[in-house]
Amino acid sequence: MSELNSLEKNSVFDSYQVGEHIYDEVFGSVGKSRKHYQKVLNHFGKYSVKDFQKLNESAKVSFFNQGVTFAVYSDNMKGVERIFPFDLFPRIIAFKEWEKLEKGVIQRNIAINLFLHDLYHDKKILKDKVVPAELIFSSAHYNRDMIGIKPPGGIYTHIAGTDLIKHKDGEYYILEDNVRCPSGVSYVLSNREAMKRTLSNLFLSYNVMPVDDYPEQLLEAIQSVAPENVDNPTCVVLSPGMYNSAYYEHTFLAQGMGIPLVEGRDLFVDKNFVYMKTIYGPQRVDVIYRRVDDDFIDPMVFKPESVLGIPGIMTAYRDGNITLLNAPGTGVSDDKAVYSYVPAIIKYYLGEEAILNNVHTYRCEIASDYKYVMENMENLVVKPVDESGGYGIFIGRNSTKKLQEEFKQAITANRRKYIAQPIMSLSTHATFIDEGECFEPRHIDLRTYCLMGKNKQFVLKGGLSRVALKKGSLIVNSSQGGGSKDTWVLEE
Amino acid sequence: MDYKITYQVQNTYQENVKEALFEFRIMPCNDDSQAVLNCQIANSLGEPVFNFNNLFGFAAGRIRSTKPFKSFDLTMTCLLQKKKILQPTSKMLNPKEEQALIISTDFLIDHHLYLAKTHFTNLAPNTKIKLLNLKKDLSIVEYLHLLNEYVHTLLKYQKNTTDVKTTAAEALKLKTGVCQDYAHIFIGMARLQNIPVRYVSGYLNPHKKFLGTSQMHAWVEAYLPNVGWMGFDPTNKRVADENYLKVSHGADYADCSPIKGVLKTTGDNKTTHHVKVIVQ
Repeated sequence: MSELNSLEKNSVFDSYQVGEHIYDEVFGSVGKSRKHYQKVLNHFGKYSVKDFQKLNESAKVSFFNQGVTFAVYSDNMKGVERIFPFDLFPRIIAFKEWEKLEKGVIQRNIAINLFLHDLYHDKKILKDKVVPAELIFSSAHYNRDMIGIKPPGGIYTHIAGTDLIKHKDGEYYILEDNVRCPSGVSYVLSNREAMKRTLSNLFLSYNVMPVDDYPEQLLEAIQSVAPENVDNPTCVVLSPGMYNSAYYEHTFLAQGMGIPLVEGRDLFVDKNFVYMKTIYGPQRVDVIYRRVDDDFIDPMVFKPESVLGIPGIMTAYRDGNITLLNAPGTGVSDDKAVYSYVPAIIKYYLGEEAILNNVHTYRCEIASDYKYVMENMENLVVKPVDESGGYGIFIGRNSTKKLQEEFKQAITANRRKYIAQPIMSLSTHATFIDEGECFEPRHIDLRTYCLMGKNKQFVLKGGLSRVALKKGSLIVNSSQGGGSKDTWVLEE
Repeated sequence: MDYKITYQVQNTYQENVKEALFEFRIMPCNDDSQAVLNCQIANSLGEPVFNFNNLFGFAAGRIRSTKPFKSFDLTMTCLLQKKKILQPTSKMLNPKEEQALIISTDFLIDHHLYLAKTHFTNLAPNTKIKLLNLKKDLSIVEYLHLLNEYVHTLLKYQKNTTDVKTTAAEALKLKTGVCQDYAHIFIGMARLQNIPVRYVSGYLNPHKKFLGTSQMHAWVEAYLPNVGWMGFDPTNKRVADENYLKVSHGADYADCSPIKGVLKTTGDNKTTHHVKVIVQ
């Protein structure tokens, strides 16, 4: 990573300025690029601004043609379909760096699965006071209907979307574990598709690890956790339907795996078995990759008004007649207050130090942490413990006094609901900015995709590098105006 | 003593029901003090009943229908043998030991289901209510007797002022309610003192002049450290004895609702329940 090369005169990079105390993925300091980016820079050096604009256009067309869209939830625009902005400059991760990252992600998810099994069985980690019991039982995502259930292979989080950032020290830090229904993997594959079409020469000049085997790997993981004694399992993808923001992805994955895409109304439970309504009559279903949240999965047990779920499915699940991916109740481990204990959880179950760093987390529930948060709002990020998608987050830097007061009041009213973290300086990456007609540094993060099946651990070699397109912004979520980059993991 | 219990529910719908899944918890359970000798369930749709055990280990039944219907009747008849309940008090700890035990981490973990602040029972944010606190020199069983009487005074027994969605906090504001409201308030207050309490549904001996004999009844069971669970009925200001015929328990009403269903239909519906208990 310290190998830097001088950059030749190049107009689109001339004005590139790495921020102070920020790690830039491409340039170590002004004019010096990191070695594994050299070929990209040389390649881009041959292009004019006009060429980039043209390339940008053709990339956009690729997304339109692939039909890759997502919906944003807001008050005045219900479910407007958009294209996820894509940046042409790939994020490149060298083999060595990736190797450690992959090990770290797998270690974390193995520990999280042992943790979940313990929470819903003997609760040893709570009795040993490694994790406070009150914290678990007060979590909105602790699901008592999971007590005593043994999912096949002991796996709860079959699909994990671990989010990482690189701090100014050049080290990766885990930001969130995302072990409920992580989304975004379809962008990884369509970004790669767009890249191959738009910049095929550049792509071929690197030895990039493939990502297009993801649906295959996912299907293998899904089939591996079928109920016992089912040799040839019928697997389906359960979607909340076309109004869901990730509906495109649901169709994409079902198609990629060659298995049916269903909605709750297509399934029913009879005598603790799950069936799919087909034109040939009911067909038994063994495994459901569900993209419906816990609360909606069974109106008989959870939200009674839910029309997205399958009435009675939880007792079929308890009986071991159906497998749900991910298992219900996994959210308790990605509660952002529980997150702060993951290094201790890894140590407890695996006897190992965590390979990847955690961001220091202040739990507002604790008196001294609460006091610190109240006094240092401008230097902190405040997050609700049970939300995802970047909703409800407060960033202290440059925040108004009024907003600070609002969050102070919200925190004081429900201290268990909030945690705070120091503002991490997400690394920046060269990103083509249309208005500026040049490349500028923008903050990025990385969502990885980890699959766990029976005797199977797989991390997709790539991931979704999300970009905060607004200058200086740290929020990269697609629902908050972020974009993305193709992410290249290089062969050794 | 033997009891013959009949539970009947009649549902009528304005429009056809196209698809339905009913779930019911109305059959008395087997435990140390009672044994089911015979139990039969009949339904107007003629559909088979699928039996299973819920999270708490109690028998529940399900009926699924895909043929259109406008009315649904279900009848359960049960012959139940009931014995006197003995309350073992010999193993009771002294108040100091008890109170040290109930605040320990292991105790919280072992009884967390019945210490939870649930939707129906949570009184924590409602500061206006005068709680009954567990004083230092009081044993838990003494406290529970006091709480039973206290909760009884908080509400006036009055039907149709509350419904199955009413929470403990709401009933306290109304100052009226039925058995399930009394039970939820008892639970809410005792759990704030770290005493595990569970919601119990069942039937009552009709010959005693108790409130709540015309329907399924609700009371509570509280956990006495080192002893076990003991039943209290704040609606009738009584200890639950051999006149109480238990069906199931759970964290609150939601775990014990006699019948619920997920139906595909539009328009209004009407439900009536009848309970008849005869001493044989």
